[in-house]
Amino acid sequence: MPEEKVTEQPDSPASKPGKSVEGLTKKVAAKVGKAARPLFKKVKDAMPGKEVEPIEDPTPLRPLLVEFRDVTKQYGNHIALNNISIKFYKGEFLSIVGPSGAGKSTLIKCLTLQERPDSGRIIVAGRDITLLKDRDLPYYRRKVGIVFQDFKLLPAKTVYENVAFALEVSGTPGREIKSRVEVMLETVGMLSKRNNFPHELSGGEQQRVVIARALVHDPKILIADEPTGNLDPVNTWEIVELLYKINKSGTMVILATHDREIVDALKKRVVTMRAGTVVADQEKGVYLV
Amino acid sequence: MNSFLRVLGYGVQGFRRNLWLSVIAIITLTMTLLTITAFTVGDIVATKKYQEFSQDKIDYVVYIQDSASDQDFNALYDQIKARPEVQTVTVVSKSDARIKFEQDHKDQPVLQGLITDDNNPLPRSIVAHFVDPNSISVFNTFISADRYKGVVDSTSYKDNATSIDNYLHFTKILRIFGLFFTCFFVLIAVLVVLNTIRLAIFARRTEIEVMRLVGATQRYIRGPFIVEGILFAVISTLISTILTGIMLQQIDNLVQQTTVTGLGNQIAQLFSSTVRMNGVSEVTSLLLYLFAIQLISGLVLATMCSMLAVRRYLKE
Repeated sequence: MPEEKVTEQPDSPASKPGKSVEGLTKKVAAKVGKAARPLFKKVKDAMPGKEVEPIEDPTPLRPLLVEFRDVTKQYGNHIALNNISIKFYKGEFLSIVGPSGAGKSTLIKCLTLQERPDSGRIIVAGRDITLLKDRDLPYYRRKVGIVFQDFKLLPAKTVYENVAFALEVSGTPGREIKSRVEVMLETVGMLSKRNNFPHELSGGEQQRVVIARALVHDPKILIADEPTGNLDPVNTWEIVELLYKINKSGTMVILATHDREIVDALKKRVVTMRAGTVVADQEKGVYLV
Repeated sequence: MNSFLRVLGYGVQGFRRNLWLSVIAIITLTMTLLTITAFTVGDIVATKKYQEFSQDKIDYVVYIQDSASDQDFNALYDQIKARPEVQTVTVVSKSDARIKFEQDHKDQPVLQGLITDDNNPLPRSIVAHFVDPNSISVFNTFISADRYKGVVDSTSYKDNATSIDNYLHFTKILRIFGLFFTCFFVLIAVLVVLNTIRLAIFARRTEIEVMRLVGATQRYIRGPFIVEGILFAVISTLISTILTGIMLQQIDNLVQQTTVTGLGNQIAQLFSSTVRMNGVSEVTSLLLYLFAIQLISGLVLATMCSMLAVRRYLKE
């Protein structure tokens, strides 16, 4: 299949005008600028795991960020991932689609190391994460933003505290936490509800807080596992729009979803899975399953 | 330091924001500490009573030969007093022995006036009371030495050896049984606390999972639960100590009253040697001792239970 040039569709729902994430990202940099630069350098240098040479040289236009090499994962007799080999590139937006049991969630759990593959390697930013020890997992997970279908907010903490917690556990100073969290909440439109608890928010609002928490570390990868599964259509499109804008600011977004409309509207790379294998990989794809 | 203060803050925050779970844990732990306290006080009372009975019933009387000189008598007295197993030594003169004989037999007029100071066959004696009645046989070996044969006529142990040994053996068995009984009930109470804290942490397992997934290390996950456990222990200890103090003060008031009858009198007699010593109240020192036991028990129990309960949810 010829590689199609990626262009933005002017009539797609995702191109509706709204808050500029790029503008706010610059604002973040301006507020925390000097403090942020050394932190980003530390994050890059502190990526845990053994450095691995890539099989092929990445092109300068599309640097390789994530690579699955012959990854297999089995639960008893059921093969969830069957010798998967696939590459994800820096800054791209891709959707992983497939029927229930196709292996989408398993793929994501292996990438976040909630599950360890039975064989194969997973290379993230040049490091083989399958070799990470349990004690290194917290440091890896701070580099990867995760958005869950069931939100997974801490119920006894406010919106502000939920987002701040992600920074507190990494030892970030209090003053820097305050500025970063406030900017991030403003980005997702939840600053006015900073003192509310999760049970006081709607599903869409909770998911926004989850996205803010996922982004507050400025990760290179944002993984969203069925983020709109529990949301109504209005909130669904708001979340998708937010993810699209996050991607435009440079963060790679991996979206696992069942929603045909979202996938078809985005016109981004679509990886289709079935029975633990990749059956299609389209640069500007549609929902095939 | 920063991360320590954060963990401390999370623990206090978790305690406040899961208030009902915290209250249940505190109630359960308080009841456990009161159980431990009850058995500790019971053990103290039993020990004191045992010592009382032992000192009344188990003393060693050394009857002195009439031919022994005062010098030999005083030397024997000094040596007995210096023995480590001997708590107190009392001297009974021939005259004291006569008075005691008449008092013991005051219901028998025919025996009154039979013994006079000029015609007193009753020997003078040295009465030894022991720190631990079980050391009576050691003392007997000492007194039976050849060097005292010229001074010592006879001892009370010779007549009562078997019954004394049986009594000591019986009380030893009773104490072992009491200790087993105590451990059994304390173990039940500990298991109840463990289960309560496990359930409380089970209710928050999703919270632990989320903390893992956002990159919190085990210190940040386990730490706050340990802080909460410490808070449970401290608050439970304070409540338990207050209740114990009120109870001991009431018992002390009962002991001081001279007109108490019935159950009150029985309680007063049972606790008299525990809450008072030589007329002085021992309630404060006893309470401090019980507070220390409760605090240590509570801290060990609550923190260990918290650590064990969280551990299963930390595994990757």
